[in-house]
Amino acid sequence: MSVAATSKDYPGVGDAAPEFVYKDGAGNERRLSELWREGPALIVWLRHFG
Amino acid sequence: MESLTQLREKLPAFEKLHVRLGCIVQGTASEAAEVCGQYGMAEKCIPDPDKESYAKLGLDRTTLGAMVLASDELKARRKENRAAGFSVSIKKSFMPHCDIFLLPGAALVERGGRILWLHRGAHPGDLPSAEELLDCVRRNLKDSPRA
Repeated sequence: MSVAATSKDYPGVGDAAPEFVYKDGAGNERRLSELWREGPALIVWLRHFG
Repeated sequence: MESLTQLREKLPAFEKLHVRLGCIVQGTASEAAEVCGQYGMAEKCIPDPDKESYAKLGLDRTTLGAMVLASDELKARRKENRAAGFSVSIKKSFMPHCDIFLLPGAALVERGGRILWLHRGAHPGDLPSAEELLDCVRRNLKDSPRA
């Protein structure tokens, strides 16, 4: 189930997780890295809303 | 959105392990709040309408053929979800920012940002269950000095 990076262009195990800036419901700019700033985080990329 | 339901059920277990959970969804903040809110997960959902983070992680896209001619694994996952009472919503699948061909993924990241474990979906149903993700967290954090 665990995989190494499939390409040098993308992060793999041991690399820095990708940063991503988004806007929350209040319109505030947030960073994905806030999740792992103080402890571990599990990030799940879901397929779609269906 | 069986994944959100399963993850919500496991939230206490993740919190007990001091692991923060973030679920990235293909939609705007308002869409994420509306849909994820139905599953009690609005606060855990992170909107990515442009699928920027999917691209940064290198998540692939599947094909129509792979979705129609599903693998045995995908068929089994669909059967499992139906048995659990979940069904696919065509309306939600085709919301404005949803790309139904984009594959799922998951990453466990230690404090500071290093990836401890990574999964890139190989087919549409290829996302570990919440129980499998929880096991993965337990296994990997046991050996991480920065956990």
